[in-house]
Amino acid sequence: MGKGSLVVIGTGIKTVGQLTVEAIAWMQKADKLLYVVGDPVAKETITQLNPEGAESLSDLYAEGKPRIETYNQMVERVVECVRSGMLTCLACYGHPGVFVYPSHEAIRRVRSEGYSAKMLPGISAEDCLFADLGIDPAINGCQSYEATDFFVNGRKIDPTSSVILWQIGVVGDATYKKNGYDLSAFPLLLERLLQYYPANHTVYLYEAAVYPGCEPVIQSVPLYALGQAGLSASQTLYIPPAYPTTFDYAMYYRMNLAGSSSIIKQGL
Amino acid sequence: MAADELRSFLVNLATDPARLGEFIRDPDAAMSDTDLDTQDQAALKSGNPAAIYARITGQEVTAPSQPVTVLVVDLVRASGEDAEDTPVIRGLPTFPQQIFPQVFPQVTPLQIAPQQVFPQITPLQIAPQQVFPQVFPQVTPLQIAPQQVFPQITPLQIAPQQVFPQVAPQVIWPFGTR
Repeated sequence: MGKGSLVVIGTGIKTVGQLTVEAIAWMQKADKLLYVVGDPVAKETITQLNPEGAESLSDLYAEGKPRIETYNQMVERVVECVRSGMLTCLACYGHPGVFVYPSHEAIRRVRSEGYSAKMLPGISAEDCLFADLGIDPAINGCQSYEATDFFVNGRKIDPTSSVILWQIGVVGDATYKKNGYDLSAFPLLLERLLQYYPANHTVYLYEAAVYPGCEPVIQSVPLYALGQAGLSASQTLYIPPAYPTTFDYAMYYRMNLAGSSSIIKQGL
Repeated sequence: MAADELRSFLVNLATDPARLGEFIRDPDAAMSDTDLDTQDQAALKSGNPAAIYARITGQEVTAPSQPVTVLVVDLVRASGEDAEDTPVIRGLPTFPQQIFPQVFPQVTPLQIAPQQVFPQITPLQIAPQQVFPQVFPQVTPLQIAPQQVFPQITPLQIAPQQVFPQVAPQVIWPFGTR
C-alpha cells in the first residue's frame, strides 16, 4: 500500500449521461471508493465499477439526526481511508464541490495532514437548470443561495438579476428525514421574498431529470402561491428578474465604451 | 430478476457512450438486444421517473400522496400588563415530499458561513489561474447588447429589453418601460 491520497468526483444528476470519463477511471482504479448517492442506478454503477472497494456512506444518515453529525462522520471515514495508505475516491451525486460540505472538508483535512487531494468537477443541479430553463447567467447576473442560509444570514437579493435558491424543500430543517422535511419555517422564507418581489411574480420550481428518457419537471407558480405548490427536497427555486436594470451612463462613458459601441453601430 | 436486469442495462448506458448513443438514437433497437422484459422497456420509454424508479427497485408504482395541511400556531401577547397570549395561526400549508430517488442533502446552512469565512483560495493559487491557461471569455457585457439586436438598436436601448421575456408585462408596465 502506497501513500494515501484522495480524489473527489461527481456522478452528475443523471448518472446515465453525466458521468465523466475521468470520473469513471478514478472510480475503477481506487483502492477504496466511498460514495453518497441516492439514485439506485448510480449506486449500481459504482458497485460494478469497483466491487471490491465500494462502500456507501449513505447509511450514516439517520432519521432526525442533525446532518452536520453525518457529514463529520463522512469526513472522518474519508480521512481514515487516506491515512491507511489507500488511493481513496469519494463519489458524490451532482458536482462534488457544489453544496457538498463533506467533500471540501475532507480535502482540507487530508491536505493539512500532508496527503494529496483533488476534486474533479461534475454536473450540478444548477448546470442542469441553466440548460433546461434556457438561462445564461451572463445576461442578467445570477445570485445563488442555500434557502435557509438566505434568510437566516440576511442575504441581500438584487431583484434585477436572476436568483436561485437551493434546497427550497429542506428550508429550516437541519436534520435528515426520509419521508419529508419539516417546512414550518417556509412562510418566513416567503415573507422575506415578498420584500423584494411583487406577490404575483412568476417563479419556477425546478427538478432536473434523473433517468434517461425523462424530462425535467418545471413548475411555474406565482410567488404568493409557492407554499401550495408541493415542495420536495430535490427542487430548486428559480426567480427571474422582476425589474429592468438601471443603466449607468456615467460609467459607460468613463469606461470609454462609447467609442467602441459607435464602431459596432457602423457594422465594423 | 427484472430489477437487476434493468439496473445492469442502465449501468451499461452510463459507462459505455456507444451503447448510450444507440439508446438515444433508437431506444427500441437498443433494448431489443437485451433481456429487458416488456414492462421494463415500457417504463424506460414512458418518461415517467416514478415508474422507472419503481422498476429499478422492484417496487410497485404508487400514487403520489396528497398534500397535508400543517398549521403553525404562534402565541402572541398584546402590549399591556393584563394582556394574554393569543394563538395566531401562521402561514401557509406545507407538504410532505415525494422523494424518488432518495435525496441526501449534502450541506446545511450552518456549514456555509464558516466555509465563506475561511479563505478558500490562497493567493498563490489565484495568480497562475488568472494568467495561464489563456481564457477567452465567451460573453462580455459589450457583446451581449449589440449581438442580440444588431443592427437595429444601440446598446443604450438594450438594458430593459434584456429582462424580457423573463418578466411578466404587468410587472414592467408601471415602470414605464413598455
